[in-house]
Amino acid sequence: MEETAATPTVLVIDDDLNLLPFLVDMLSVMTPYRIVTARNGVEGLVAYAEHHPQCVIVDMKMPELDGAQFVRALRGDPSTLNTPIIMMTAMGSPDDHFIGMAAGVDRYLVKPVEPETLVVAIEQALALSDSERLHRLRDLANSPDDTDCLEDGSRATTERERAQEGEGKQ
Amino acid sequence: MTSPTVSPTFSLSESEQQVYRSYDNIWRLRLVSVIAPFFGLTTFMSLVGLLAFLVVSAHGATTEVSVALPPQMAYLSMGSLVVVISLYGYSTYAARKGQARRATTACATALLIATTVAATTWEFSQGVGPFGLAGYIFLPLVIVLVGLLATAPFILLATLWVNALTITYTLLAPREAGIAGIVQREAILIVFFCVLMEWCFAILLIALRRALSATLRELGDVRIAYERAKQLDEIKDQFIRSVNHELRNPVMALNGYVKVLRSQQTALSPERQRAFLDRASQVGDRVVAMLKSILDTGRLEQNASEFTPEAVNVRTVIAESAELLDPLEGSFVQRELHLSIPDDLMFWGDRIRLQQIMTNLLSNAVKYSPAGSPVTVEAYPIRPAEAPKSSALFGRSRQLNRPQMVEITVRDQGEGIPPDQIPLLFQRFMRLPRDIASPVIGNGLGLFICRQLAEAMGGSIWVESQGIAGKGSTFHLRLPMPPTQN
Repeated sequence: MEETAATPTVLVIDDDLNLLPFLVDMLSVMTPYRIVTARNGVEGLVAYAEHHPQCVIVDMKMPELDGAQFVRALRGDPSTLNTPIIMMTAMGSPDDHFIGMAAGVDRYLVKPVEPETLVVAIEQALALSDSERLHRLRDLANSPDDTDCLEDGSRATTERERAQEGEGKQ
Repeated sequence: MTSPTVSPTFSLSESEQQVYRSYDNIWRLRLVSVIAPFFGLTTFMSLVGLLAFLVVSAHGATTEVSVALPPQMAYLSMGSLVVVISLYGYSTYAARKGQARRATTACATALLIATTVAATTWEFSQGVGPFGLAGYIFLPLVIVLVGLLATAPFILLATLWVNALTITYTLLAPREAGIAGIVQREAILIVFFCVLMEWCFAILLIALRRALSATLRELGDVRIAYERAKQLDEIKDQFIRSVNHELRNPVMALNGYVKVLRSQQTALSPERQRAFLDRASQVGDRVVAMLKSILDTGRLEQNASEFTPEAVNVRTVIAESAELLDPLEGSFVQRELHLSIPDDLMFWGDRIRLQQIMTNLLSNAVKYSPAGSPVTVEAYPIRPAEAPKSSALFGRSRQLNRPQMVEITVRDQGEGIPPDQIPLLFQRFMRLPRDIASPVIGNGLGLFICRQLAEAMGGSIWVESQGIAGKGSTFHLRLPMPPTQN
């Protein structure tokens, strides 16, 4: 697809050498975005500084710097605080889900993810306004241990229960 | 539903043998921890009493007790009682340290000495009288106590000792005037009945010990079966974790390519479609290879020992194994492979099995070390370990029967393995935590398979590593040499 200066850039960070080329192929076919890649959190930070992407898709388990650390690094810097971030990982337990959401991601997807689902997640993350994200992150920071506000402003416990229900159904 | 059973085809590990020993030891240790301090205290009080008696006697005072104890015998008894108290003390200490054999042996020995000292002192100082004869009934109690603590040979020894005491007292000890005639007349009968009673107790105790051992063994079986089931459960969890991470990515890519090709067929050029299909095919191959290696493991366990051993050239097999390495694993970067193997070095086993082991070890060395760093393979014959000096005579004969071995080492310059994680390496589906998070592909089966194959050929495999980056790991494989080369 034709790229222009206004074309959003999506940074994909994953250490899997089979999945990363697929994500590039798939996103370049199904979305108009410019795709840049990195293979771990450290490379991801370098790529972020270079390309200033409008959205980041990041894996959780990676060498050097893992996904949660990468997300915390972005969320801890006021200049990158509002970046839409999607975590896409093989770690599907409720605890992993909680760790991912607590790090400050907008969406937490468990692999395998359908191509359409990923595309929709990117669109939703891009559509989330800065004020909505800021509000949610502030709730996350201010909430006591067990009542962390997460995605959709829900409480962490509710989020974990929902994740557990999801596991049960599978 | 099948119940967990201990498979007779698996040999017991050291920790499993420990389970049987611990069941046998626990109750003996508990018994000693009660008996030894109690009897130690009783003996101490006897010692104090004896000392008081000597002090009183030395001052010429008369006592109400009609005991005539020569001072030499009293001093001998006191010396013996000190030894007995020390043994009870040591027994209590050993029981607290969990040293069952030492604790029970010391306690049983103390019991025997204490009984011997007390009975001998009494019978030879006071003479065999009604009270002394009644004491014969208590002698078998020693056999009961020793029988509860010690092993069958010790019970037999204790019984023989008590027999000897009974015979000695009856025949040699002075007799009280009132019953001297009866003892003289019935000496044989007294000895016969006492010895018979003592052996009855001994046999009863040995039978009880055997029954108890059988029950404890069954308890041990149940415990081992439980531990194995628990271990299996852990392996299953580990397998799920490992497969979960290793399969989700390629399955997502494979499924994704199919979905994209189907939904975007019209938008994709034929070249792009072909490229997508090629990549999907590569990912599919990875999934198939992984599933195949997992499914092969079960078959491998059954077939590992089904081969006809023959003399095989080590260098040739290792060179072939290096040829079989997948270039993808080394990221197509050339590696130096240093081989230091005598041309004529042979091992006794199966060519294909060594090839499988070496391919695995070389593949690991390449995958887990920096691109371009060398890998060194050495092989040399080794002599069997020297027998300990204490059993030099038997050690020599064993050494003659033990086959000479070939040791093959594979050394890399990678990150190494943290020493605390080394025991995990050769277990099924076990991947180190850092590897699960790394891009290195694996299913946690390679080294498990190597161990199975090495052991099936009568060899062993282990690793040495300090877990220091750059110093790497050294895998050692030991295999028997052909009989003619021994």
